[in-house]
Amino acid sequence: MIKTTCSFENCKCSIITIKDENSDMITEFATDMFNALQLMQQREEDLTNSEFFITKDVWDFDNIGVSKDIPSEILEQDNLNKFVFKYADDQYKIDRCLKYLICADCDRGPIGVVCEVSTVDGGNHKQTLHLISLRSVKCIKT
Amino acid sequence: MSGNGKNYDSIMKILLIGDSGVGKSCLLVRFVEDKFSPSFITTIGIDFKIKTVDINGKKVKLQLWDTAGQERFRTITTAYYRGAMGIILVYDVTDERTFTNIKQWFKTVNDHANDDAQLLLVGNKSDMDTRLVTYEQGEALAKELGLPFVESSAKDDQNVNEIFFTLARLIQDKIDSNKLSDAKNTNDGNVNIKSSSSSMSKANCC
Repeated sequence: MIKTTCSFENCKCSIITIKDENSDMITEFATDMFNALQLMQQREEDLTNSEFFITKDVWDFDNIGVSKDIPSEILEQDNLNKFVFKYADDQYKIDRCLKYLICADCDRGPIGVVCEVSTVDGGNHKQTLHLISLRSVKCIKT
Repeated sequence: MSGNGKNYDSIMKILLIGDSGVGKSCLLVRFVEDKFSPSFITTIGIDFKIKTVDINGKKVKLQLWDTAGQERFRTITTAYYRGAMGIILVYDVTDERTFTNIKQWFKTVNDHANDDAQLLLVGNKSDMDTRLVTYEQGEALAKELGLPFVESSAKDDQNVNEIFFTLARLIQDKIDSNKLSDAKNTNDGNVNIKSSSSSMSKANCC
C-alpha cells in the first residue's frame, strides 16, 4: 500500500491511498509531460520518477481540490496527444487536459490533472481519468 | 472493477451560498501565493473540493462546492442544488446588505433544494474590526429561520474546518435519526413515504 500526502512539511494532507491490488494503475509517462502540463515538481530527489497514479473515480481521493476548466491560454492542448500510456490493458492517449488537481488543505499544486483520453487504436474508448503525479506528492510505502 | 475500491461510509454534497464578496471562496480556498503555487491556479479557480472527515467512527467524504460568481446574476441553476445534503448560507459581518439578503437566499434555497437538506448560517470575516452585524443579530436571525449558527474567519483554518465538520455531523445525526424513526415506523406498520435516509446514504453520484 502506498499512502500519498502533500509534500509540504507544514501540510502533509492525505491525498489518496493506493492499495496493492491497484498498483497496476501506476503508469510511467514521458518526463516532458511534467513541463507540458506545468505540474509542480516539489521533490528534488528521484527526478527520474515519472509515474502517475490513474483513477476514474474522484471519490477515491481522501482530500483533493479540483480546479475549474483550464482556459486555453493557460495550457497548450495541441501536443498533449503525444503522451501515450497503458491503462486497463489498452494504450491510451491524452485528448484534452480538463482540470488541475491541487492539495485540498494548502492549495499547493498542481499535483495532477483530470484528462479526457481515448485509445490509440481509435477504438474510441473515450473516458475521463484523474492522473496524480507521484513526483509532486509524498509517497509513503506501508 | 478497475476502481480503487470504495473506501468510505458515505458522501455528502455541501454548497456554499450567499452574496458575492462575503468570502465563500475563502472558506474553500486559501490561495497562498508562494513559489510552489503558481498564480495560474488562482486565475482558474476551484470547482470543488473533497475532504474526508471522521464522524462517529464513520469515514465521511464531503464534496464542497462554491457558487463561483454565478450569484452575481442570480443564475444559480437547479442542477447546482440537486443532491445537496448540506447548504452553508454565508454573509459578511462587515456588510449589512449581505446579512439582509440572507432571507432571500433562505427562500431561494427552500424553493430549489431538497427538503431534507441541512442548512447552516455562517457570519464570515468575524476577525474584522469593521464589523457591522453583531453576533447577537446573527443568532437572532438563525433562531427566526430555525438554523444553527456560527461565525467564522477564513484566516483561521481550524475554524473553517470546524464549520464543515459541524455541518457534516448535523447531517449524519439526521441520517441516523431518520433510520431510527424508519425502523420504528416499520414496526408500527406505517410506511414513511417522505423519508429519504436510504437514498441519502446510498447517494453515489457527483
